Order: sequence, then C-alpha cells, then structure tokens
Amino acid sequence: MTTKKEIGLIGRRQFTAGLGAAALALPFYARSSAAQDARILLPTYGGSYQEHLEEAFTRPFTKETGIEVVFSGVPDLARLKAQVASGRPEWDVFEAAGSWFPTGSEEGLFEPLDTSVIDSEVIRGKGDYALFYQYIACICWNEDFHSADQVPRTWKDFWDVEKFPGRRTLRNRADMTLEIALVADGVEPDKLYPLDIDRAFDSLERIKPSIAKWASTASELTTLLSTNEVDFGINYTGRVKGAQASGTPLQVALDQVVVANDYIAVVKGTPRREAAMKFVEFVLRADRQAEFANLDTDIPSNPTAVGMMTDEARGWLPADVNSPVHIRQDDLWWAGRTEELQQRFLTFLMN
Amino acid sequence: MPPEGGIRTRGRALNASQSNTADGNLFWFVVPALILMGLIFLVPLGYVFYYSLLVDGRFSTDGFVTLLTSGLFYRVFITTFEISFLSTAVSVFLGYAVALHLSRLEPRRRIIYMGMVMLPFWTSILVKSYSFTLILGRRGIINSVLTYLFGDAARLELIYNRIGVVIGMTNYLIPFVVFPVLANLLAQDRNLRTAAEIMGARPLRIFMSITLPLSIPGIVAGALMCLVLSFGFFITPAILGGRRDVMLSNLIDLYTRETLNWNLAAATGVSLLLITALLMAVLSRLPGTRNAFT
Repeated sequence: MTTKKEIGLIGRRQFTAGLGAAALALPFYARSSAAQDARILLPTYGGSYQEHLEEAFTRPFTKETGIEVVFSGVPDLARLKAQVASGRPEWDVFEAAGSWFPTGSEEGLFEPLDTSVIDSEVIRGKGDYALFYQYIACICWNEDFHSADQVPRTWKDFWDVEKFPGRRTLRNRADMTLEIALVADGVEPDKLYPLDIDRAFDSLERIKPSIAKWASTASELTTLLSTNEVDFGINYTGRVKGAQASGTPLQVALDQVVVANDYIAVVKGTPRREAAMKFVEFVLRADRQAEFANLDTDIPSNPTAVGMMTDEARGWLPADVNSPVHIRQDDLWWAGRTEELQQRFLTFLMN
Repeated sequence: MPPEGGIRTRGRALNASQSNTADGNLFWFVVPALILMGLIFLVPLGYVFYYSLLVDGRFSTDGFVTLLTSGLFYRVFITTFEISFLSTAVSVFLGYAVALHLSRLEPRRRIIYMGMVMLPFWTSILVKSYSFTLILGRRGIINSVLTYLFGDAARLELIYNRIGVVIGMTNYLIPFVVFPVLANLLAQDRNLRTAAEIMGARPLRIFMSITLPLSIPGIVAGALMCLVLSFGFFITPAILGGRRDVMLSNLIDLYTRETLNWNLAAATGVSLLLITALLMAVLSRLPGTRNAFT
C-alpha cells in the first residue's frame, strides 16, 4: 500500500529528474559492462575480405575464448589518432596495410606487444605492431582482350610501350609506384632503398602519357581492367581472385611482383588490452594464418603456415617469393616521407 | 554549410527589422535548432580553427605559411575553382531550362517531373560515379553506339578528364539550381507576360526582357549553392577525373588521413572556408542579386 502511495506521490518534476539521472548514468553502465573483455572491436574493409577474416580468425577465436569480435568502421589512421587522443578508443585492435603503422608507432597509437605470447620474428617498430601477412601487387590484364603471350610480365616490359602498346593504369599514390618506376628503369629490386627519388620521377615521366587513369582506389583497378578502359595495369591478387570468382577473366603475371605488408596492433589505452592481445596472438598462429592465406591469396607472416597452404592458394604466389626479382615494400623507409613525396607526386601528376 | 546559414540569418535579420514583436515571440522556437547547430557545427569548426594554428602544441602560423608558399596548394586551389565554376555554369544553364519547362506544366505533372529531378539525390554519389564510368567509358553506352555507327575514330574521351568531372558534378548539382529557379518562376506575376504579349512581344523578347531578369535572384541563389557544394567535391573528381583534377578536398584528405598532419589539413580547410565566405560576400552584393536572399 505504501508503494502505491509513493508512486502516486512522484510528481512530474521528480520523474523528469529521475529520467535525467538515468540518462546520465547510462554511459557509465555501458562502459562498465563493456570493460568485461567480453568483446573486442576492430575496423575492417568489409566485403569478401571481412568474410575471410571471419572464417579464419574471428569465429574460431570466439569459439576458443568466448570473446566476441565485432567489426566496426573502416581502418583509418586519423580516426584511430582521434580515438586515442580522446582517451577512450572505440577500437581495440587495428589492422591495415602499409606505412600507417610506422607512423602510428611514432605517434604512440599502439600498445607494446606481449613478447611472451607473440613470436618476436613478426614484431616490428618499437615492439608495438606485428606483421600480419604480406599481399601481392602485380601486372594484370583481361583475357577477353589480350592473350597471355602478348602482355608485359615485368615492370620493364610494362614501361615498354612500343613492344606492348596499350593504355595502362597505376595507383595515384607515391608509395609502391616510385619503387616500380625505379625497377622499370633498371634498378635492382633488392637494392632499391634508399629510393633515388629524382630517378623515379624521371622514369614516371616516360610512362605518364600511357597511363589512362591514376586510380584513386584499389577497386577502380579491377573496374578499369574489366571494362577495358585500360589494357594492362597494377592490381592485387586478392582482388583478381575475387574478380575471377564473379566471372571476369582477369589474369596476373607473377614473374615480378611487389610484396607489400599488412600489420596488426593493439590500440593504445584500450580497456580490453588483454583480450586484444589474445586476439593478436591467435591470428599469428600457423594454422590460422594458413587458413586465411588459402582464402585470401596472401603470404602468411608465420613461416610455418606457408607449408600448410593448399596448392591452389600457393598458385597465387610467385614460385619463389624470396627471389631478388621481386620488389619488397619497405614501409619503414616511407614513414615520415609520405607527405613530402605524395605532394611531389601530385605536383608531377598535375604538370 | 556556412552560406546556407548565412542566407537564413540575413533573411531573419531583415524580417526582424520589419516586425520586431512577432519575431521576438518566435525566437524561442529557434533555440533548440541553434543549440544543435552550435554543438554539431560551431564547436567542431572552432576545433578546426584551433588546429590550423597549432604546430607541435604551440601557437604558430606555420601551417598557413607552408600553404601560401606551396606551388602544389596554389595549383590545386586554381583547379578547384576552375572545376567549381565550370560545373556551376553548366548546372545553371541546364537547370534553368528544366525549371522553365517545369514552371509551364500543369501542377500534377510538375510533381511527377520534380520527383524525377530529385531522383539522383536519392542515389549514393559513389554508385553514381561508378555508373558514369559504364555510360561514358570507352566501351560504355555512348561510345558503343558511336563506334558502331561511325567506326573507331568516332570514339569520344568522355571520362578520366575534365569533361567527366563536369558531367558527374552537374548530375549532382542540377537539383540545387532547379528548385530555387522554379520557385522564382512560379512566383512571377503572369500578368506581366500577358501584358507583354498584348503589346505584341514575341516569346523570345518576353523571356529576355521579363522572365530572365526577374529570375536573376533564383539563378544567383542556385549558383551560389552549386559553387559552395563544388568547392567541397571529393569522390566524383577522383573517380571520373584525370590526373590534373585534384581538388582541395583531396589535399585535406591526404593531410588528415595519410600523413596525420592535422595542422596543415586544418589550415587548408580554413583557407577554403575563408575564401568561400569572401566570394559569397562579394557575389551576393552584385547589383540585381540583392533579392536572392529574402
């Protein structure tokens, strides 16, 4: 009876105040429940790539540890920096390609990795990020328009517009493109760094008239090749595999490829550091890496995993990945130079 | 969108001077919107200004000095303006024709046609840009027809150059011209045209002497909207443009996301904002355009 009376006594104002208090308390409630290491968040590029991550890593991880892995947003270093600066990062794990990681390491965006569970062979930077896998960029063409014996197979060939006439595409970014230009100009791929920047731009000047489109995104490359906007172009094996699966007859030359890097790290200041660390350890295991490489045409960072790959998956790799004919991207060299060189690259494009 | 805010404020200020009491009572209805705008617009904008003057934790104008002495910034700046003005001019020309046609239709049909003008609005700009590669490309619909009829020599380069950028941007911008111009045309007094007709004027003369001059405020409002939107364009020039079609937004993207130089990113953004504001201030004071904002 008293309760009834009390309820009746709660005035509109009190009710509103209570509602306000509840609203104020809500973020704290949400925070405390999230802090229980029950789930971790990481950004991803989505599409088939996300499906591969789910199949090889996140679902087995949840099964083993009970920790749920949720994908949220697209990898973006600026967003990560803002999250870390806010003191309450949304992401717990960060995974992406290229020179973002040396830069992020410099900016202090990653937690030091736990060397007791992670193999030091794959740890990079200040010990705060790890090589996740390596991916392959190579010369690609469309079988509908060119047969395999009429296409450039090395970067020197790619630059030879008399022997291989046709429209071409490259990315509109300096990293990787400068390396390719130097190799096309005769620099030995294993003696690329430090890059001879002037020579690279001179070399690019020669191919410039044949580049129909400097692609701003990776997906554009496949579109340009599928629709015959270009005859030859750079592309990533993972994308080509996807295009083939959807019926577009793209082909790749693995005679001289670019081996580029994808890294993974634990976000600085995450309240779920332990769970995130467990996840990084999990994805670097040989069996997980092999399964992912089978799905995604990559080179596992764990050397044991290479031997566990299927023949079909190994068909997407050059016969000898370690051969000195291939270009190996050095992200450490690029860190701190991206701004200057990308600005010079844009100036080169606009001239 | 600062200019839109500016337009509203000016309109409000004018109304206020006309009827103080009514406006005073209505003011409180605007407060929630003002607070919302302050939080989601002014506060972040303040941060952008703050970052533009912050180098390594200290106050410095280095960011602006770097920009003003950079050849690349200058080139990109000019390109941004060229593309914006060209797209705006084409959009105003085509949009005006559409609006004129719509204004002469019976209301029920007009609604249907207005829906068709709105249609591109409801499609993602990324999807539209990719669709254009299928229409304008070397093996796209237009070139397939041309080469089928006239042979390979008839193929047009409609994409990966300035033409592609203007087509893509115009497709997005036209509704922003159609609606202000249409509103203006519908508000024009029919009797003026009837009077001119009775006096013996031909349709072209009526258009040139009455309809067009009266619609200048609508044109200016639409054109300013197009310009401001164009300055911030990003995806369309990247996908449909050639190597020279680099916009200021692309530079901001480079500094924000790739190199984490937020000082330079903010300085670029602030420069763009100030120049846009200046341009709007000048254009909106041109003779004959005063009524565009009321």
